Amino acid sequence: MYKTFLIARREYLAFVRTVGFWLSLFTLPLFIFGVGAVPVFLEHTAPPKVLNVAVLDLSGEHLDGALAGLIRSHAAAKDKDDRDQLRLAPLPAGLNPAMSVAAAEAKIPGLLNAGTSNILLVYDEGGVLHFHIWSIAGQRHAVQDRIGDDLDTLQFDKVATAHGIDPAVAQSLHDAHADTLSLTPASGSGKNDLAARLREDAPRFVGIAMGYAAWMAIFSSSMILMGSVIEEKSSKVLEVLLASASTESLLIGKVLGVAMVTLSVWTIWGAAAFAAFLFGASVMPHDTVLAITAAVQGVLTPGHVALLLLYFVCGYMMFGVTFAAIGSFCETPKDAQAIMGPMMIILMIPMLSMQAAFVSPDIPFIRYLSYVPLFSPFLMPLRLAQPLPWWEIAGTLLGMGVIGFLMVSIGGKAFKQGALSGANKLTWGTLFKVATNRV
Amino acid sequence: MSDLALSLKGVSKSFGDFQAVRDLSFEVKKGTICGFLGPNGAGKTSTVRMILGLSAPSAGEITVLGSTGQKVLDRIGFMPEERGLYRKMTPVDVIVFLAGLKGVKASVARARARTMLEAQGLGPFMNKPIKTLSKGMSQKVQLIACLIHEPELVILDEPFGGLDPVNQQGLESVIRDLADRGATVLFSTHVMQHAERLCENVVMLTKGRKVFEGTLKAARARAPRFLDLEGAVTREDVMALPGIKSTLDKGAAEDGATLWHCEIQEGGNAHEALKAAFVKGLDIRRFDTHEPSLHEAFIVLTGGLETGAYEHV
Repeated sequence: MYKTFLIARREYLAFVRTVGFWLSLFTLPLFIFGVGAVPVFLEHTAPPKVLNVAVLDLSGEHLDGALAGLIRSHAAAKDKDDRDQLRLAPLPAGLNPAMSVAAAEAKIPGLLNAGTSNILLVYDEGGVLHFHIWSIAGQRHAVQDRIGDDLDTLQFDKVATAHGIDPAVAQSLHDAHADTLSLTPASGSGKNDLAARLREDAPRFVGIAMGYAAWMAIFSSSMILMGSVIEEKSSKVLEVLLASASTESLLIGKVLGVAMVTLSVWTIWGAAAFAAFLFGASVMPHDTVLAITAAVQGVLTPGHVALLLLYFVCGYMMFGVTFAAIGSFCETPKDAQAIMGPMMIILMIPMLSMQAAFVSPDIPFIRYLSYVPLFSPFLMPLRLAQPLPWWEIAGTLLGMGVIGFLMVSIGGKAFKQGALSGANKLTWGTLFKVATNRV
Repeated sequence: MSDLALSLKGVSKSFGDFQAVRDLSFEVKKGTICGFLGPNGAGKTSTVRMILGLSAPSAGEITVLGSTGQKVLDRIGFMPEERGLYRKMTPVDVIVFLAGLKGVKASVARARARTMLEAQGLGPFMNKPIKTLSKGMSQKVQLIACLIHEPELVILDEPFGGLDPVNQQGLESVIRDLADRGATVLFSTHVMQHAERLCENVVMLTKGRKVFEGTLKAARARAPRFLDLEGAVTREDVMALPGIKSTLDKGAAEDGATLWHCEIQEGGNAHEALKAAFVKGLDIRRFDTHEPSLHEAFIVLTGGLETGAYEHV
């Protein structure tokens, strides 16, 4: 056990001392920060836009006054986060309410400039109001985003008036919505409680998160493990190691060392995310923080958490040992890449199935797939979101245990065989000989 | 308690149809230096790997320090033929790591490593990455790593390969020191001079089969001994001498004399032959006796030279 620890520690220290580790540690958080912060930064550093809007009313319904009022009211009641300014501009010379729509549309593009950056053309056709907002480059959609709903209301009021409905009554009909909720017995007790509904959905989200986490951990560790074994093999250290520790210690130590690397990265990322949450919580309304805290509390039972961790650890060890054993047959990283092809196909099956399992975790295809030990670590965390018969959990864990034991046993032999035989390539024949002790 | 450090009984190892080691049996007493000799491909490395439990014998039994399992690995020091270390680690760190795998506490290993590195002249390099060290320096580091846990049995697979004469001398001195403190040393080599200077016993192997086991003297006795005779004598005169097995005419000497290179029969004696020559009154003007070296014994025992090969030349 102590030898396993020593090997794991050496593996861990060897990797965390590389530049690659520190690059990978900071690259993802920086990327995420960049994706979130850069647009905000650019938006705040860019000068605010002035949206000068002129109104050309060709509807014959004298909407110009209402529209001007609409623009003025939006300009006055500007959202504090909206840095752009909406202003009413005079109608440019050359446009008048008596001209045709075609003539107006022919002239408008030539009249747009910084002083009149938007021209709102309104006309009526068959009882439907048409609002065409012409804008200079860079301001397209800006006016529609701000007053689009109010323009809809003008059409609604027009139709209501045409049918003799009082505009106030029409507005109340427009705003009326039924209160629709989707409930289950679990969430029914707290149907007005957002936290209760979150708690019901959380296991599915946690399940898919754990499935993807296992997949990412296994995938990212595979090349590290294979690379580590290839390095030891090429530097001729393996024979000395094998003369000092059992193959099981070596294999498990290596896998644990790389697991500790992954764990370190995730811990640091998790701490960064938690710090970001704490910072966010300090600027969030207190009620929102309380709601989030209440939703997170009690999402998963200790038993559920234990099972999730068990599937993760068993899956990681099962694949980790396999990759280390395969790596011992490789002379160069190129050999490892060639072997990774078929392994990736196997790994892609659960990857592609997880989306389906998230939506329908109990369809027969997903259920049967989750019974396959190689796929259980990815699909069972999703299926745990709903009550499962105990034998399914016990059976899949047993299957993973058996496969894990076989992997350590055969992988250990393969590791020794590959490590001591320089020219031995990984073939089906070699594997068969290893499995049947014929080496 | 057995006085044997190592015992192999009827050990064989096959790789498919190829038999690397055939029915090999030998013993190494505790506290001795044993040379494990054989030409390239004789099966030395396969045997060493079986002794260390790195591969299982196809047949036979191996007892190491009184045990048949891998339990004794911590009491064995091993330096493989293909040497290598973690290139990015420092000598001290790699030695402490390997010592840890042999059960030595880090603090003890670190202190020992510093002392041994200093003794080998590697003090200034002990905290530099191994990739910056010369090949000779790296081999010294590997040897220290092999000995750091003060093993009872030290197995060195071709330890002199790649070393310059000065470092070879240094390694020989280390091996003698090991034996002096009571450790058993088994080293494989195909360079006989090292075995000749170091070993009490040798085991010779060729094509996977043992061809000799015993003392250096016994090994040399298996090689032909020679007597050079120069004088006006014929082949028949020489062959009539007692103990002469074969002769080779090495050409004419001064004044019509001939130089004869004679092989002495097994159990024969060069002095008896000389005495008989003088008694017979043969015109012997010069003679030289030649005791065989281990190298010559090795050549003969491993099938590189047949005895009596001169008879028909």
